[in-house]
Amino acid sequence: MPTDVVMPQMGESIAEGTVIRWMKKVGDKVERDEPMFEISTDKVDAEIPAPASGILTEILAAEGATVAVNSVVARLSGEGEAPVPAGAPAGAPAAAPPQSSTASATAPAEPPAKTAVPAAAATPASPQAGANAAMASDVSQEASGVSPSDATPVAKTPVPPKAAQTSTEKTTSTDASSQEDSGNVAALDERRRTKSSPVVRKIASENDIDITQISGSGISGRVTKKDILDYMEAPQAAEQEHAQQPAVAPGSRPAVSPMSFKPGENVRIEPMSVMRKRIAHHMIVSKQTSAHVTTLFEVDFTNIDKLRKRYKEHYAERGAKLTYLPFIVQALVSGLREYPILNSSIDGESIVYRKDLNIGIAVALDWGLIVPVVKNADEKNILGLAKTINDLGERARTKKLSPDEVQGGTFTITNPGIYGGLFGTPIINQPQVAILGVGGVKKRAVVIETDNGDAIVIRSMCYLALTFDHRIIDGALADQFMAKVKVAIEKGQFTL
Amino acid sequence: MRSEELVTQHPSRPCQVRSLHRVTYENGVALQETLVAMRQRESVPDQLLLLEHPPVITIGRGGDIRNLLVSAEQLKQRGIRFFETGRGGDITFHGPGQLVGYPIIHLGEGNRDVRKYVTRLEEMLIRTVAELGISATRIDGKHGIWVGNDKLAAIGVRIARWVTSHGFALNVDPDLDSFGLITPCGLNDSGVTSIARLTGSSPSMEEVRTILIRHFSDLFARDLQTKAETLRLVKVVVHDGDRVLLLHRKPQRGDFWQPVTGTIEEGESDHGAAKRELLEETGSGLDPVPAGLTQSFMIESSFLADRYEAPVVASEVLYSAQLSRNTPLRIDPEEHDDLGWFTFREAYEKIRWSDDRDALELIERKVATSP
Repeated sequence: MPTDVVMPQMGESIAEGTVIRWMKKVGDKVERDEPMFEISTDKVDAEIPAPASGILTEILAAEGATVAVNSVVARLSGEGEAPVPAGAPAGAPAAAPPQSSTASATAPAEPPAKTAVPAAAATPASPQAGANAAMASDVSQEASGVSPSDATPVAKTPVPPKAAQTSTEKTTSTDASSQEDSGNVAALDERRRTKSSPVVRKIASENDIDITQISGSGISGRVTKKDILDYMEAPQAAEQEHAQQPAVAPGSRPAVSPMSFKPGENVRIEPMSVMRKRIAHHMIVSKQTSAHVTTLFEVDFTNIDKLRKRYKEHYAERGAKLTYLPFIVQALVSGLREYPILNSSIDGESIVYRKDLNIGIAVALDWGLIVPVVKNADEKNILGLAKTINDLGERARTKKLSPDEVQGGTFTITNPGIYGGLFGTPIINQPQVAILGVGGVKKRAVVIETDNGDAIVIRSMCYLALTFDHRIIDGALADQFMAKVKVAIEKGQFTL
Repeated sequence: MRSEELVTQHPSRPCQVRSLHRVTYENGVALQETLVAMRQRESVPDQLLLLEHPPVITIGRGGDIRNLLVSAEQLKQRGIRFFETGRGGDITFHGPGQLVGYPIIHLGEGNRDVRKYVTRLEEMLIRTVAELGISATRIDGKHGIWVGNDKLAAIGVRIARWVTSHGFALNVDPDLDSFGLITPCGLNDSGVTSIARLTGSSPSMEEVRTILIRHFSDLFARDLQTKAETLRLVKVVVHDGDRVLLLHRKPQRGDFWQPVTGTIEEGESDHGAAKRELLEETGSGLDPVPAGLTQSFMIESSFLADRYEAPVVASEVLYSAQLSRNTPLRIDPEEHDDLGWFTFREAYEKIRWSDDRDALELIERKVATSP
């Protein structure tokens, strides 16, 4: 009975893996649990055992191919069944010639040969065989110095043959596959896409880059990490990306009347930075995507002020600057838990409820704006939130954020109050459905009701503006959410 | 992930910690392979190997050879070896002053996640250096731990049947210039740093090991037991300035050429053992000089298997002794059947083990530079 060999799941959040080496070739007999191939996921190499015994009849994912978890990479036939005619499988030519010597040496079931070597007390053993043939061959050359013809101490000369061998292996294996579809541009692009490493593909998907647009400097046009980073850095990268946008989202760009300035006019023309172009694009797309409505609440921050005063030093000792933001985030978390639709996204005609509460916090920079994300904000206390927010803000300003830290947000806070603004009506950060604008906290005379009648008191007040997507959130619900947040802030009961 | 969540969620499991000395890359691989196989068969508990390598550049199988920036000749001149290796990741340098750790642990149910495993290793390193006053971070999409744009520790892992091998390399105080020979991890835009460079002083390797072991135990929920070496040995390289003395072991004792070696006996100092072995194996009453190198390696022999629990791990202190080639020598017929004086070049051809090779190289350098 044929058995499918699949790309295994190497971790919860790992979606794909790259085949780096076949230890068996088509036609080989494979024992159940015997290592069959090696994969790389997240830069971790793993040796994958055969799921069953049989003959390897087909290799579907050649060395270097990156495939999704659970996709079939090879097939095994039951023993006795005729193996597939030679030459049919794509993987075979690539794997067989350069690997043949390695493959046999690697036969992983083979026990370490050294146990058989008689050796006396105090005899350091040298590694001779084992799961790693490439290494084992280095080792035996190195350690035993088996190269009588070479007058130079062998121990010192493994490098040139090794280096040469390595590149030959790689070239050979990829040449074999490139012959199959030479001249076929679509196939070349396809290969670039599929042959790029998980890292490159991750960067590409995160930055919305089409890998096939990048010319790869790697083997057989493979796009290396450097290629993609260069591409992102290069000015034309932004141009190309920009040029592609209309195609990706037709009609999403504003109808801007063509404006042209002639040389000699009293103007200064400065091309937009990549970041500025991104912001411009995102803002317009958001405006055209969501039905923006803003609701405004006046919230009493006096209790938070008291807490800040009381804990400021305590937090400073622990290296955290205590601002209003951690409190606001914790209050939001309580609201989002009760009204999860504020923490959702729209996918076609479905509402996607995001289970993680990842709160983005807009940070103004001299050169633009970036929104680092406090991941799993519900799992942090005020100290944890304060530290995270300080850290993200600091690294945003020093350009040290990693791509991951600006992604995955489910709700965003922006702070239009820092320069004294009363409130702002922010634009939703797509694909989210709501954003909170925090105005300036200011002491005001406020009328409160007491048992002894109304009184005018001094309170720290702040306007919170919630912009929400009216497509799925109605005004009543948005206001209930805000009422919840307001109560949480005013009560001043936080997990410190 | 909250940092508390990084801690492995299961009752503590036993883990043996082997604090080793200098280990050649080849011997390190051999020991790991043996322990991985034994761990897969459940014949040993989890293991944490801590060691230092002699200068070596290694490249993962997914690595790009173009990240090696110098020729084989230049590597040779600097005494740096080169290996392609079965771990994940690109190219890296190991050398003295770098704390290398190889956890060989079984990732059980609920922890079968390579990403989480690597994140835990990073967290362990971050917490370790935090105690030395360094605030390191991880950078998404890149492995290891970083201070600013500089890598402080590298990670390269292999997994076979959910048993881990290879691991991490933390730069305590290595020769950072050697990283200039490569594009570390294939990352063009980043540098390399060390605890010594960041703090202006170098903590002892022992101190860093102690801190790291504690965090390893916390994060991986392992009950650590120190596993001492099985055997303590001495090696005496006898030379006359040009040639070295090698002894040939009898066929039933291994059938290979080696310098004078022997076991440090109960209550004996390593110097005392070196002196005694030199006398027993050559008849020379000379006083050997310590060479400042202690190596660790595994001995696999059926002879020892009956007497000691596997794997038999030995440490070996290196001595040298300068002796005229005309000195009449007698060998111990129990152990050896031949002796000879060889040029260093010839000797490298004769000897069998990488640790003997490194020992000879060290003595050759000392001889060449001594007045």
